[in-house]
Amino acid sequence: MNRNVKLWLFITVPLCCLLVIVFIVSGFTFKSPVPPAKPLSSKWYIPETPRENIIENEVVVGNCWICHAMWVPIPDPNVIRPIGAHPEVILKHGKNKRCYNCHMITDRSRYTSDDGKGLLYTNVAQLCGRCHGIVYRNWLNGTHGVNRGKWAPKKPFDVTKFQCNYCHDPHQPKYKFRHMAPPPTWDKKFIRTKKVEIFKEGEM
Amino acid sequence: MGDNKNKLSRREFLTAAGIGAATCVASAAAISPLLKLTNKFSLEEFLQKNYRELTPEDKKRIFKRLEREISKKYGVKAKISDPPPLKGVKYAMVINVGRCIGCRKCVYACMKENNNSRSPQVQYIRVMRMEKGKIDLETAVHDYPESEAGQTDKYWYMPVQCHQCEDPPCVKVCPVSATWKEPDGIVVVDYNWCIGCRYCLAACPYYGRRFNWAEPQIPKNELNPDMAYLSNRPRYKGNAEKCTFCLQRTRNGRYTACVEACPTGARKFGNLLDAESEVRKIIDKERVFILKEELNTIPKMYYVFSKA
Repeated sequence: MNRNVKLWLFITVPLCCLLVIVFIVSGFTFKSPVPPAKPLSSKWYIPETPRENIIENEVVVGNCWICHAMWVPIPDPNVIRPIGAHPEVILKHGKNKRCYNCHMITDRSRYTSDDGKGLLYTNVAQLCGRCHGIVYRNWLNGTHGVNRGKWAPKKPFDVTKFQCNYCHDPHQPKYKFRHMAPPPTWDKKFIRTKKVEIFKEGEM
Repeated sequence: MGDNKNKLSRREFLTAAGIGAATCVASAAAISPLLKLTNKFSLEEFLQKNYRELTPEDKKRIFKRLEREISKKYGVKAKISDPPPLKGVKYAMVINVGRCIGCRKCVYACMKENNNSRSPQVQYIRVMRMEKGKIDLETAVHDYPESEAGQTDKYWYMPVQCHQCEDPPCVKVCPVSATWKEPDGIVVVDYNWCIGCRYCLAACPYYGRRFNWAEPQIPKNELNPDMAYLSNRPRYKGNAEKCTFCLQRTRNGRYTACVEACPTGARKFGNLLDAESEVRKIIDKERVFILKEELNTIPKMYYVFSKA
């Protein structure tokens, strides 16, 4: 054994010992850098249309005649909106400002229809279809609107096709968005801090 | 002379023995983290075959073992099923980007349904936010804050997820055949067979695949106990995973979680081979756009620009 080898041994043997200590210590003290999981808020994933809860909990359907048939007289058809009638209703439906365009003047449980018989609450889409024909056709085809249930319905109750008023408030039909979910979470270095540069035409 | 050469001196023997012992201990210490794996690793799992080679008895046994493992880890009694692909069905999805408001409800409904890891977060759907009047994916933003969602007068939104290609590049590159296309068009992954090489992540032009970089974490009370072997059972660390059109739901006739959660009805789902289905009616009648059509992967995800 010559001197060179001995010199190397002085380096390698302590190095090995050091490595042993390092491996053992790192094995026991390893902590995952991943933070613990946070529960999801049920608002982010529970299926609901914008007015589903309102429709199911608040609106009492078909009881209008309790007041309207007994105590409230039939108003003058020329009046756009009778004074003091349902002041809580704020009407923002474009040109359609007259109450009796939609609500039947002789029977307030029903809606107006072309044949004069009136529509029941369950067929409210036909009422909207009197003006919004293209959307009504799309809704019949299934390209507009929300369906729940099964994608291949075999029985009549396999699929629920929501009527117009499940999403749109008939008095203020512009769609109102309710719950927005947060963006995905990343490591801090991936999070956007500056505004994204967008190329304008002609710059390139 | 010859005797002296072959003889080992006491000093030489001791040094050699010392080095030998040190290297033995060092290598043992180096592989000591493997000892921790014994709890997670069983011989049965090691010898498990590819899903497509399993007999019904094998499947029954494996599903039972997986159910046992899940109940041990999460304390939830889960049921792993294996719904077969329906005959005469090719699933397709249509997204009406004209009506998407970017609320990301589909993203979280998907996470909840498919038992995705909450931390680190794994999300199958990315919602891209783009300036109104431009179709430029380079400037699209997918981590826009909640306040920028729902502003349909300024922006438009395009959800992107696995496109369930008819000619999937991710399947072509898999070196171990851990991923394949089912007869109903859904591309699935056998999580136990996947080796985690991430070729499929690199091959996918839509970034439809996700990788579990760390041990997936799911809160116990949020685990969806209705599981299928190929789709939403809990994944392992080092697994590639992807959207499977919620096959545990769709093969039983239900809508996918994202379709059900969409508040505007922008997502439509159905059978591409059935002329009366929702998706076929839209594809026939509306202007349909296919993302990265030039790559010829023949995706079964269609985009429609329609307001009405």
